[in-house]
Amino acid sequence: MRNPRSRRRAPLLVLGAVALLGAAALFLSSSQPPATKNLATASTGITMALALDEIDPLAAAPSGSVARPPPIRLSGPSAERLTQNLIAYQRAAIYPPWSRAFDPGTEYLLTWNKPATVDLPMDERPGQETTYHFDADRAHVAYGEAITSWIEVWKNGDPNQRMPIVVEDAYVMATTGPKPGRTVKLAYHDDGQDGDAVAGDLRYSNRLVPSKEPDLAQALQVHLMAVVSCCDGIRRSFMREFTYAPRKVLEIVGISDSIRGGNLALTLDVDVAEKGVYGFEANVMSHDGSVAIGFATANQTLGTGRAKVDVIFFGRMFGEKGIDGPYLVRDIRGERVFMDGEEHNIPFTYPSTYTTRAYRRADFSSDEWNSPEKTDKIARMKKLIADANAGRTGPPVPSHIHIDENGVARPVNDPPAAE
Amino acid sequence: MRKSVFAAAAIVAGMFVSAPAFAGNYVVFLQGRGWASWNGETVTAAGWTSVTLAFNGNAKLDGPETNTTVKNAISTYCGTGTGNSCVIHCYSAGCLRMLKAVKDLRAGGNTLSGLLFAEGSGSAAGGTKLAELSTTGLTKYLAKIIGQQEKIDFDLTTGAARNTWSSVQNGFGANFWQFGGYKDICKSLLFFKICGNSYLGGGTADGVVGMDSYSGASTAGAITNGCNAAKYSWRIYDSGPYNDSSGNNQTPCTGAARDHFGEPGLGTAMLGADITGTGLDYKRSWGDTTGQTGCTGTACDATFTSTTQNFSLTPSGTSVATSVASTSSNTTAHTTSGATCYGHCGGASNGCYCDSACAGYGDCCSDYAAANCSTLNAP
Repeated sequence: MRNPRSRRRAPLLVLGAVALLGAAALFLSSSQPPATKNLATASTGITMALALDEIDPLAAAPSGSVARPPPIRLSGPSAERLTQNLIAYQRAAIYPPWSRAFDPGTEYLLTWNKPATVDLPMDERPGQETTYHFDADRAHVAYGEAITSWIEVWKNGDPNQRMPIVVEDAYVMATTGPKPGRTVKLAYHDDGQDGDAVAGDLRYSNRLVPSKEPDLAQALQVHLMAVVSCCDGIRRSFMREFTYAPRKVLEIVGISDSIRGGNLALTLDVDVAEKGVYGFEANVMSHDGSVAIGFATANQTLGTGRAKVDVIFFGRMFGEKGIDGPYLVRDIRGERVFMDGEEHNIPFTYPSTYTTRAYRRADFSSDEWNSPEKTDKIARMKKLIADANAGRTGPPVPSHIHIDENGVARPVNDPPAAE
Repeated sequence: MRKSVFAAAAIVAGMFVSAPAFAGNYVVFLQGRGWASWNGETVTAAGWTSVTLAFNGNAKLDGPETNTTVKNAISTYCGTGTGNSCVIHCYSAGCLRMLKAVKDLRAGGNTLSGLLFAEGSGSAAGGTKLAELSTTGLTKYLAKIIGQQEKIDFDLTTGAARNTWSSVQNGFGANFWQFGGYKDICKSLLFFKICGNSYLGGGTADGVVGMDSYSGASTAGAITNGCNAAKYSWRIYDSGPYNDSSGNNQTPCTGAARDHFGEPGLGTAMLGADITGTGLDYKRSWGDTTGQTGCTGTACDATFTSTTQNFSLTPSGTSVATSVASTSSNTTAHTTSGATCYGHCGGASNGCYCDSACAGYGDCCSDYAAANCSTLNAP
């Protein structure tokens, strides 16, 4: 039996020799910045285990027994692919992450408050197929607003063939907060009252004002839940998610506009009830609202009281869409953002639209987005491509590090891939 | 003398293991639901370090797993001012965690200029119908097919992913390449089988997630071509080509020949090919080979034929990642159509409840604790 100590030393000596070569290479390389002790600052919560004695590949490995079946080998383009990534980025980064012209992929923002519903099978037995539809009039409920939801079961997936159902039980269910589970009990009815549009039409409705419910006084992650039976005893549990504002966190009390740096700046005059990080969004349209031009987002940390928030529509979109002003700004909205999960994000809306001054599209810059972020990212991509083309690799580094439950990063010695 | 040489080597080796302190190149791996570690398949490339993280993929989205562990890792290895360059490989629910972390970092002023691109394997960032649709025994199909109910399931409905978390979807700011598979996952139950794609509403799917999610499509629905789908900003369907030894592209627009379990391996191979020109894929899958017919009604709530199955294991029982079974509610060994909390934590069961309020109402199912609902219902 081998001495465990010598068994530990052998790879250590090999590692040390490799490390000497690596250190020499690093010393000779002028392109690398000087070493620092820690992988990250304390603020990130990640520290690097430095002592070699602490390296325990098995302890650090994500799994004690990792399956290694014979792999298949893929060939890929490497530098060619990295170039493809660069080109795709340059194409996308004509616009910044915070404001873009509308395209087919982003037009969903024009119906930003429409719930993303999917019709699902209630009874899938052959010949008895029914589907259910659990919908609501909004996905985000601002302070004081109501959410009206309704349930329908359709024969053969036909919305015109509604079936009678029994809503056995329904609640607002919380998935976060001190006591996840049932909060507000709900009644779904088909009597033409209190949110139900038409009596007896087999559409069962409920109207709820979250901000009036004591059990929803904290902003929780919630969904509507209904246990529904129908069709010879078939039962399902339905879900419909929404967010809500239990209290007023911010009010938009005024709006103005200007051209700034070739962009359209929408300046919101806000009255902040709670200090914190806030996100803002808005859509800009042609004056008559018929042409969707673009969207903008902004984030700002705000203290309590009055403040100004700029939501910047990137100037290039106006020329690209070929639309002169005045412009209609709509869907002005936002949320208080809780980044540590202490509450769910709290939505707010501006209940009206805003019309800008009569700018001409030529008043705005047609330039592409430019910023240190973009410049830096592109420079890194180009360096990688150049390295790949030249066959250069970086300095020797651990091939794998694992960050454990305590935030400590440890090198891992992966077993060689078997082929 | 030998001792001093050893000491010198150790000192220099110590410098070596601290090499990540230099500006470097990193691939950060973010596991999904069902795993508490990455699956062991990482990128091996000179000058690049694979970074894996210990976090519970079962945990809710808006918790320390996302808001601290994932966010800190992205900040450390991809952040502006670090000098690092990084690629993120996210899998399934890990992609929704990535999007939230990136959104929060950006909101906090970190523009992540070191983030070169992300690769999403079987991204569940757009949600899955299996997290919403229940059996007639009120068990979500996601919980049944994967063999355990997890806390993250409440974030993976289509409505939660696209409405509750809508603000994280559209502002990634770097290319987010995505792909997924078309292979179904069927699991053998006591008398019948249960197959994920049967409930994913037509279109292409990988047994757990539909192409509408894993392609980055901005609208839920049945789609069969990931390249053509209208997508959230910065999303691209990754159609390669990544060719096997026969010259066949493994990631066509119509989906890869993988199920949900096999996608992260293929994704890692694709990243290996991106960086080095070659990559290795272990081509795993999680479906059972069975001649059973598909279940209907309460038959879909039956126990698995092999009750020890777990998504962290291959069907033959080999571990690929750290299990999250201890924080999940098992559905492989329990019939879930009766008055049971297995697979029903946080909600209603059949004649009783499994949420944290049930003790107050006096209507908890008798197996509330055994089903692990105390853990799943913890704040």
